[in-house]
Amino acid sequence: MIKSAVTFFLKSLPLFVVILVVFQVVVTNELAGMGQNVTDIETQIEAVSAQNELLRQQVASSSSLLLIEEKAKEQGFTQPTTTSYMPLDPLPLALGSQ
Amino acid sequence: MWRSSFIFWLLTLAFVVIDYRLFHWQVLSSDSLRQQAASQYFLEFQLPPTRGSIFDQNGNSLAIHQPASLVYAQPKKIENVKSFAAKISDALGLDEKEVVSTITQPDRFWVALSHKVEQPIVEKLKELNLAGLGFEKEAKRYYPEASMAAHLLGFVGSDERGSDKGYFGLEGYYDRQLVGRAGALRIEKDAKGNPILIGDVSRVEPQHGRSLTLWLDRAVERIVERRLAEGIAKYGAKEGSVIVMDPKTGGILAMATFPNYDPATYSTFPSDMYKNPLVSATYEPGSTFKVLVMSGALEEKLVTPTTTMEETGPVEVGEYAVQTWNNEYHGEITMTKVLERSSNVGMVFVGRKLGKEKLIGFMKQFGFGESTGIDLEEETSPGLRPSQEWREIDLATASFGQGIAVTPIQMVRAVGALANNGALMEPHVVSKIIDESGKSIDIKPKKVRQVISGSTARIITEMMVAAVDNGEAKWAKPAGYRIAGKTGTAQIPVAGHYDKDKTIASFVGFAPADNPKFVMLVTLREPSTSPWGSETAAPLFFTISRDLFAYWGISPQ
Repeated sequence: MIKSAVTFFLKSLPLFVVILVVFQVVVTNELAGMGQNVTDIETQIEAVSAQNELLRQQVASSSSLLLIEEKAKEQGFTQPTTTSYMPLDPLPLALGSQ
Repeated sequence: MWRSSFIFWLLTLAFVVIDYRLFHWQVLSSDSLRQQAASQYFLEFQLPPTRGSIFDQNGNSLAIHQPASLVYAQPKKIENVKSFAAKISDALGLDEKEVVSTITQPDRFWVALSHKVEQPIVEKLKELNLAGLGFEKEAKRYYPEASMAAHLLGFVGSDERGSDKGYFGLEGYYDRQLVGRAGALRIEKDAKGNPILIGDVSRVEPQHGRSLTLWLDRAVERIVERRLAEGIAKYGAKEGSVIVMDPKTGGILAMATFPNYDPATYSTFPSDMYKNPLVSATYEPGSTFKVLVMSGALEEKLVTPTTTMEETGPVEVGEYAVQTWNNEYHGEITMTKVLERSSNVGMVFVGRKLGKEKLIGFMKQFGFGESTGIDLEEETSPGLRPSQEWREIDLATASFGQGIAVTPIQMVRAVGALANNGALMEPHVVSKIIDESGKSIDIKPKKVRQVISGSTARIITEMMVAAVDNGEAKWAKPAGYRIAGKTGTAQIPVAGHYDKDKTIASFVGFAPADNPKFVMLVTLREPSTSPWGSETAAPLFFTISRDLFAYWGISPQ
């Protein structure tokens, strides 16, 4: 029985080799041809990175103090002329007004 | 027979010729041919690093990179030169004739048209779909706060190879940290130019530049710059500057000087504006220096706040006579009153008590004559004259801050020691360096040395508080706050003598006096409304202080 199994294996070996070789050729061919996909993905990554950089710049620009000051002035905010301080400890129950 | 020989020698000759050509290709020209072959089946390009950013202490951006491109032309691929030049010059704002002459240069395959073109313009150019027009990523520096802290930041220009390089300020000092290192990618490509996944790949990742976090608070910087600009206009000064420093850490919270420039368009400003005068220009400190001389005499126990001297008139020093700033004399006065009234005669008394060697010694201890070590590129330090060159008049004038040259950063650091229990700190702009992985390197505050004792520091602080409360500038002081400070009015030396009209008005101080949050120096050059520090720099100091108290929520004591 073992002898017949060994015989079967030896007779099938060339077939296995052929199948594996064909498989390797097919896979290699597929991979070699996927370069276009890689290029496409890298192009997308670059585009998204560039967009990200642009948005980061816009965030920095929008949150700049100069812009905030301008917008505050447009909306009617003004510089405070006086500053009042209120002690918190002890917290006052009533405040006098002038 | 002869035919056989002829054929034999013919074949031998052919063999030799073929051998020689093979030798030529495989040995003599192998390197260049290998490179040519590699360029056909390898893609090779540099992976540029991104320059590091600069943030304030709260993470707000002060300098970042923005996407931009190098716009280039490939003249051999241009179909219609005139039309190409017209469209390009219109989009890029270039002269059309210059564009035509650039793209029609003989034997040129590639010409640069414009560097660092911003993304919106690049998108417009791409829409034109012009043959022979190409783009390459070329990041550009962007300053969201425009010209804020320009001298502190510096700017990014180009080196001799055309690569980005930082100049002046932080961009210059930390250029190697900020610039990073380029990577490289080498990948096998197919006939269409696409990468082959299973081919040869060699990749070196770029090391992006490290970012900097500063001690600077952009809100404080904005307050300081706005008030300084107002002050220069109000007092008719030619120039003005302010430094705000945390005396406990040496961290620079704000640094402003006018006139200034815009680092994004630095080339449109004169180059003599690039240097930060706060660390590179010298001035005579005048009466602000008195607090340091007085603290030295207190430390040596030569005087106390209540030690008295007779101020009866000008004091003779060799062939010279030193008088008070207003030529008024008050008889017996204490050392505290000497500071309150800013008496030059009183300071000559103190200077003589100290003596030349000890005075020079304290000047060195306070850091004069040496660089402060601040992390800005262009710091300089005027040297101190050797003690053997000092005459009696030099000792006298130095005691009230004339005849010596200091930089503003040296002055604010020295007074910062008085606010910090006598400990002199090394000033720093950067508090952290952060690499691309987010790992942060803290730059710890550095104590340089103990100049005076804590008790002397407290005594001189009280004297400075009295100088503010009872001195010439008391009218401008915010009510309810204990501010330690001293006015200064120094004449400007011009061609070997002092100009009688031109002054540098200054005020140096710290607050709150009992637990100082900041030490600040304000200088105004040649104020025209009044030459006196008490009427120009002092009110400006107090105005800025009011805003800072409100910003930091420091209530009156």
